[in-house]
Amino acid sequence: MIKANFMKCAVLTIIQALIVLSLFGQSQSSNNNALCIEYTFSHLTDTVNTSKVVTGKYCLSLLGTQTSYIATSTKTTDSLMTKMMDDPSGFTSLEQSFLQNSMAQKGTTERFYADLSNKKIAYFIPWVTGKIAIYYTLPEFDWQLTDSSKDIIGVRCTKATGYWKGRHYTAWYAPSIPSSAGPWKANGLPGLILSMYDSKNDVQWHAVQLYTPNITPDVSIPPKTEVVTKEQFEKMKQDFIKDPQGTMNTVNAANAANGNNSTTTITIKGDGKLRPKPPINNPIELP
Amino acid sequence: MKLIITIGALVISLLAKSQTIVFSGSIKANNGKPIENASVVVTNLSTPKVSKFGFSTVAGSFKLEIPLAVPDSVFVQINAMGYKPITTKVWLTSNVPAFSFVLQEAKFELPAITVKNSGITQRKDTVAYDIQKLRTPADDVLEDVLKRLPGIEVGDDGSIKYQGKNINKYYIEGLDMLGDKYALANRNLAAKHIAQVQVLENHQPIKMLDSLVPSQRAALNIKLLPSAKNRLLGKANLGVGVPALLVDAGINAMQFATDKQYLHVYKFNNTGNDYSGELKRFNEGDFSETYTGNLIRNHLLSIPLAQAPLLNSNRVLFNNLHVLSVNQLTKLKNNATLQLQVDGTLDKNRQTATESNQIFFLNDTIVFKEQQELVQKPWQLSGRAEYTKNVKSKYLINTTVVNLFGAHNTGLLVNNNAASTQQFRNLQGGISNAFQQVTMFNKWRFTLKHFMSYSSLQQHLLVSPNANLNIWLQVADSMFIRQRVSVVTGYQRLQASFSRPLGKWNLSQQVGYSTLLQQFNPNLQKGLDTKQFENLGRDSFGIRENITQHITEFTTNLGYKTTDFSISLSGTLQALFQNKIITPRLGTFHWLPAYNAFANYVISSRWSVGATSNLNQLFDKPFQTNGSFIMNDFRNIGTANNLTGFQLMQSNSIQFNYKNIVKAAFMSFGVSSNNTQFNTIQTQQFINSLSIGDRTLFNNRMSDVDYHVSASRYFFNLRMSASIQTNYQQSKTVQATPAGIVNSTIGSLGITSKLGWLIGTVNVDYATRFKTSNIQQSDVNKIRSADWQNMFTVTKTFKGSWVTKFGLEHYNLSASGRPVQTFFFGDISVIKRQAIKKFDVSILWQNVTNTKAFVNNFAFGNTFSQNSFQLRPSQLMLQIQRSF
Repeated sequence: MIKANFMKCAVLTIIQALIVLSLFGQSQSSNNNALCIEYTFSHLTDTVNTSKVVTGKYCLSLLGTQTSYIATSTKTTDSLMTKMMDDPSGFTSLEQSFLQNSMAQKGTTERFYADLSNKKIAYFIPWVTGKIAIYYTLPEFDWQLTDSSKDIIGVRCTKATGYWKGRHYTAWYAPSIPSSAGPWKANGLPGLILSMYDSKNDVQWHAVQLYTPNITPDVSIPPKTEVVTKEQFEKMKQDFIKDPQGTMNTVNAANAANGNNSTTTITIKGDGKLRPKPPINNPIELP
Repeated sequence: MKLIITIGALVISLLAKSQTIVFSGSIKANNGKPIENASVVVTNLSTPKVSKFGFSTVAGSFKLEIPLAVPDSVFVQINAMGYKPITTKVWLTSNVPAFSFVLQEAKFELPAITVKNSGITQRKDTVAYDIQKLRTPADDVLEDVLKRLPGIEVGDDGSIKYQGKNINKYYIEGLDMLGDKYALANRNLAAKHIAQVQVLENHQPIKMLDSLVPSQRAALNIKLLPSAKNRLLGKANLGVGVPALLVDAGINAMQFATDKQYLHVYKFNNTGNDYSGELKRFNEGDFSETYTGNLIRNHLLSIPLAQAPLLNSNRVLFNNLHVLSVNQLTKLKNNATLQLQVDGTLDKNRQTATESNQIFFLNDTIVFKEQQELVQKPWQLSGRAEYTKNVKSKYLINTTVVNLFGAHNTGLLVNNNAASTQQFRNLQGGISNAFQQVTMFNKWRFTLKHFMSYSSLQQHLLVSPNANLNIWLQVADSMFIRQRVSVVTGYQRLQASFSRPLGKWNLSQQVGYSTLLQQFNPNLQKGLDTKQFENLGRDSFGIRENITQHITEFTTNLGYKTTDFSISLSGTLQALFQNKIITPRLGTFHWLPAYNAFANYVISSRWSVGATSNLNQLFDKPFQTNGSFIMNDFRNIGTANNLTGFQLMQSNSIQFNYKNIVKAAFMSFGVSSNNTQFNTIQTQQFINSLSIGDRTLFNNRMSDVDYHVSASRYFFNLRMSASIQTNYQQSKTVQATPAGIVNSTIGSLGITSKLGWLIGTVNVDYATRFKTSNIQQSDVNKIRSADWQNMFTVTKTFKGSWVTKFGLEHYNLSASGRPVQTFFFGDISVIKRQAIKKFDVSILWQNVTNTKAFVNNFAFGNTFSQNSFQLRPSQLMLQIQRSF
């Protein structure tokens, strides 16, 4: 009887131990040089109407000298989309509703991939004809380092000031995290930027989470992305504005050649003419 | 003019250009691979000001142009993700050569780790649990949530451990109102008001010593939601039930403001809830002082009581318990705090049990069975006032405590068909004052500690005529026997120390002197009835002793503390002199060496290791060295023969801790050993069940080894907490008899695991405990026992605020050669919550599957007991609760 009891309990506890301990094992698989930082972002887009503030959460992923900067909601949508494409049968109704919710969320879709060693940054654009990336040189903020320091989410940070495209920025970087990366296009300090804001507080980024990811973060531009120049993209935009349906017909023809017979038709309300969005009066990059 | 200006500007710019030094070089990994984008930071030697910084190229090269204004010698720091940073001093001259730096690969660890996930965060040494994310609808009070938190263990008595070690302080909003009586807050403060539970790792309670004196233990700080601060919180509840008239009522009120906190509680019940546990103090300050001053509740005499089973008290406790606790803390203008506490308990409880004992010797086994019917009326009244000033520049604390304990117990004990009625009375009181001040002069810290106390204890035990006792005492069979003792103790201790930090080192020296005066008056008497008694007429039953004791002590301590590593080494030498004013006068002198050492090392952000080694000497309180025979209970009578008993206690431990905040996973494992060497032994002789003890000099050892593993984790996606604790303990004891020495060894393997899972609106809690023991008592008794306990609770929340709760407990107790005992207990409750009116109405049916008696096994040394306890009947309660 004692042996039977012991066996029962042993089986029970071993099952529980496996649940607990096996997942301890998982936690060891994080990449040495990978890091994820979540920033809150706010931008006063209209200086006349101060209630117009765009807010959002962004995730900066680091892998060595490569980084990606993606809105958190976009990142969730991407991972769910990938799962849905890879394993449609395993896609649960809960995940489906989550995907619909995250796709319905409004917010900025800015997405950047930076190569800190080669001083390059790719702006990723989900264009109507497919995924597009435009490469630029990483901006130089002309940073001036100071002696001031403070803790941000528990990490000792040092203050630096810099200027780029019409704005004077204050950045707090962590010398203990040896990466010259930062939120958005910010870079070039001898430590990761955890907080940055301009002198008018119109634009702000503040780190709220910092963690080592369990899986290697994706810091490369997505596959099947067409790399174009800025001029080429401007031309594509103009062509689309002039003849939106013509652009879509080209896309439909390309899809048909690949065996996809679905067609997309564009209907424009009003006078039937497509106009570019009016520019905001307080962009992050001032003229 | 323009030309002159242009030429001037050109010259100036050229001069400026020429007044820079080109500092260049390459950065490679130890395998020769160039490191790209490594930061190169040049700082001045004297100030941390950065002169210039840059990054290495893809080829690993760098080039910085440094103004000549920079001093000749600078610090250069090279840093890259995944490599160990290097800092070096470089001489800058106009023709400085190209440098070549080689970095060693190293795993990147987040600095002073700050990792955040959806419920647990860490910021430096503080781990914070977000209670509103981690609590479930089944959690009413803070303790319910604490039990789910990974890394934290809550004991059955309410004690809290973090990573396997008891916490050393408990704060609410940064203030210590309760003075370690923290179960009171954990069991009365509603979980809905808590924002965070913060664990302050390696907490040094004295702010002045924070950077100097390392600590191995953590503290807890409870952070309230903003809506719960600065306002009255509390609840009142009334429950009535059957059979008979059952009442469970209480009221608590509390407020937590920045300058004032209070928590007042009154509870009464006769339903089996032991609320007195809420008043337990888990860190009693300096144990040696309260022990030596005889200030702890101390039953020198007693009526025998079978070892209570580890059951929920409302299964087995027949009580009528009043509990009162008044606690207030006021913040004074000078950053000091004043803490006032009054606690009281008054109980009348009943225990009905049958105790079957087997005591194993070399050639003999004593067997007896006893039925016990006890009514106990214990009471306690305590008051405490504490003034504290704990700031960076000064530490001052003065604590005054008054304790009164009393009891009037009666019992009917039937042993081998012979009944014995017994009566025990206790009146014990003590007052103490403890003072400590730490002050600083330049870099020297001076500490002054003073403790003084006075205590008085009066106890008597009356036993109706008892064959065994009366035979040994050589009195007539019809005589009542009464043991009276009184102990009056005056004690004071003065300690002074000074210390000075030397960089990361801290050296302190302490001297101390204590003196104790004690009067011990035992008296064993006989009487024809319960009123008139006379002394037994032999000196060995009533020697009045006046004792003085003087101890001089010297302690030296060396500490070293950095961010990752700390060590503390203390050595103490005490000179003990005891003088007994008896005839003939008896003086004893002893040297008592002791040491305490511990070290902590933070291996990485996730791993740490701590080791301790201690040697301490505990010696008997002077009256315990008595030369009279004392009847401790009607089954035990003994004398210490004027021999002072010493325990030389040596313990070692090592424990590894792991924590992964992202995964909400905690683990600790280690081994600890305790070896105790006694200089005396109490030999046992028996007349049936009566044990006659006689202390003799004899070096004997007791030892135990404990291997333990503890792991816990919270699964955020599943909303599930899981924990498992395993330990193996082996203890060895000896018992002397006239026939020789009896060795006993007990090896026990214990496994405890818990699982809490919130599935939609259903909360499932499951806990299992398993303990198997191999018991070897002399050569006679070899038993293998196994106890298995399962507890299963399901709580379901319905729409309309209906909550149902179903609990089932299962016990399976077995010991070889004895029948297997299986027990089931069940509880059902239905609660209707009126959230807006803050009313809860509930019906509770306890002990659904009622069992008349519970039988458990208990082994210690050479004794094996099987005890049977009467259980509470099935009971139905209607309860109304109003929170505010």
